[in-house]
Amino acid sequence: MEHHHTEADKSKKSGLLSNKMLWLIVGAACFVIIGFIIPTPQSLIELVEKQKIAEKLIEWHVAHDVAHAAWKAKLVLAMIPMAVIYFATEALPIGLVGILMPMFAYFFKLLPMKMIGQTFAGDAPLFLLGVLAMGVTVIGVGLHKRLATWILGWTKGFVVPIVVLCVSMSVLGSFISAHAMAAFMAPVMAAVYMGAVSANSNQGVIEHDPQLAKLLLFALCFALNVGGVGSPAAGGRNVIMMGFWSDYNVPMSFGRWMMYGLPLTPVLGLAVAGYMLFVFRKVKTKDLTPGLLAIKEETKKMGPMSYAEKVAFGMMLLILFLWIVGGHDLGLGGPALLALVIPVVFKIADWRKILGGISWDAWFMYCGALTLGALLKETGAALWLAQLFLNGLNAIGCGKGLGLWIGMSSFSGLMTNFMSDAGTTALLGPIAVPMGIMSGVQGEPWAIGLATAFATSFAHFLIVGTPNNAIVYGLGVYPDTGQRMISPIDFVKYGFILWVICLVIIWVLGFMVLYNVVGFPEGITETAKAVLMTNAH
Amino acid sequence: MKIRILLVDDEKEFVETLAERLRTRGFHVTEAYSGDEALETLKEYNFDVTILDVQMPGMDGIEALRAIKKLKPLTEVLMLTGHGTIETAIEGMKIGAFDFLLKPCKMDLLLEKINGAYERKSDHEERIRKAMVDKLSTSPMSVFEK
Repeated sequence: MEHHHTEADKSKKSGLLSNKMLWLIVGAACFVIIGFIIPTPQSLIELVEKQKIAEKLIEWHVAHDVAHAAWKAKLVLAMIPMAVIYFATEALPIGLVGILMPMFAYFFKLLPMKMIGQTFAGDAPLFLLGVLAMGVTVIGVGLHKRLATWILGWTKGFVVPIVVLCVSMSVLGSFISAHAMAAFMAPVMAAVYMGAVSANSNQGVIEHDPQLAKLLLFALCFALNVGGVGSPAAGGRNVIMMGFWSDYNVPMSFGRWMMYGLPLTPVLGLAVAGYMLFVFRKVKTKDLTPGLLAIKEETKKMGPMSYAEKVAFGMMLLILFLWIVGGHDLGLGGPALLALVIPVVFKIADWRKILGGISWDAWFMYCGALTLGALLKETGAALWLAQLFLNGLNAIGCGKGLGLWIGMSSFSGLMTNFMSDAGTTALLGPIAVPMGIMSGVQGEPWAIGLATAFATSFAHFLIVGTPNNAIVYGLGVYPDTGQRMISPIDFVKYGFILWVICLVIIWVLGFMVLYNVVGFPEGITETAKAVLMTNAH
Repeated sequence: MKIRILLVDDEKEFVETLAERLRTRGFHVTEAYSGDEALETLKEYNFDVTILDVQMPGMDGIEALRAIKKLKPLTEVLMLTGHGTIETAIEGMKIGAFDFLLKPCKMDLLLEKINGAYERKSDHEERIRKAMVDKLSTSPMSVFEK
């Protein structure tokens, strides 16, 4: 793992994006300019007055009059570009950006005090806490390694291992932390590569096949990325979207999400495999069998399944079962909390280890995102933005239904390549949901929410788009020379077309087929609309 | 994956024989006949374990060890020594060598030391990998930091 850092790495390190203080100031300046210098748009003032949002804010003692209420909404709008800048440049840790949301709400009195903390303690935050805790235990006992080696260990040849890798990683990525899987599998892929090329080389001198190295690493990385659509447990971004729906009194169940998302994952996995095999069709090494011995070695090293692995596996299945069949009474948070209790009771993980392993950075970010959603909703800022965007989209004929879903998923898919997937959902969700409701199409706001969330799994073409990309890039080195197997520009080169392919798959198979086959419950649009309007009145 | 070994000794016959014996046991072995040659090879390739003779003409074992540790700090070094140079081997361990072996050494003992050195390197790499992944999970942009 002794890496040779390229000139490209060095230049990026000293580049503009690494100047965190500069971006901290730029973000703050955007907030100040929009919040305090630019006058409040007349349309915003009219909206908060007409929709009686001002009346509500005055009643809550957070605004004195209509103009003051509209200014409060503008302050919330000013937080969006600031958050975008901080997410995209990492000027602040993502958890801290999340903390800024309630902090600003307190200091600028954007909501009544008792409402601000609520977003940190609902079903969605507890669900996410459980998902993160389950990840700590599953990864801690090495269950993810066992599952991966079980799935891949039997394969032989060339095409079959690639197809199995892509489909299995995309499905596993729907339930198990894709970051942890990438961290485990990237060195395994390097070992598979070395085994395969060594078999083709003369004694002592390894003839490298860089195309094969890229094929293996990108297939792994992109397959894990697309797994994000499969279930709410795939990542916090999905949990955030579920939180937004709950705010409009149209919560979606775990099983329902899987009905829309899970059938997409093997297809997306197959698309990754097909595209990778096509792009890298000129690889010199066409037999991975000698390299796959590395996976068999891993399995052998692990020995039989341990007590801890069995308990973790059972816990995972139980929680999944309860998420799917538990219904609204148990919520998502109830079963998720078992992930904190079971490992300690059955002595497979230490309580302190679980606490230490949970990504609090992610948790604070998600809770902050829910605060931002509440701020946008309650102040009327979301409604104003939704109207603004809908007017623009109506002008080009994409104001509702398929056109809107395609437009929103394209924008969300583009944005997620430049910043965190959770950040993208956190910022677009509160705007997308009212847009869907206002479009009045049956199935909204679920349809537009899913469209927005699904596309955040396609951060294929920029290395900083998702930790999976950065991990595979960082760990993907030739063991014998320490040189990197892929370069940052390779993500653009091989990821962009795949990004388009993935979007087209969710448009066709997701929006045109699954939305119609699975359908949407009657009345959700009306219920959500009633909340939107009640909220406004 | 095969353990990668760099075998450094000025005694050509000893190197060739030992390299062959190690290869038959599944190791990937590269030969070097001086400290300078070893360093040139290390500049280009990574090795898990370097087996280094402490007494060589030109750059001696300690000098070579310092240079190897500077160039590739994670590579574990096993020092090969005669009875008269044990002090040198002990000095080598103080500056980072994994262990030393008396020449001529028994194959079982050599294999044990090689595996021990490889395990230590693997553990070290695993910890680095974990720290790297933790950082990249929260900040993908840190991939560009040295």
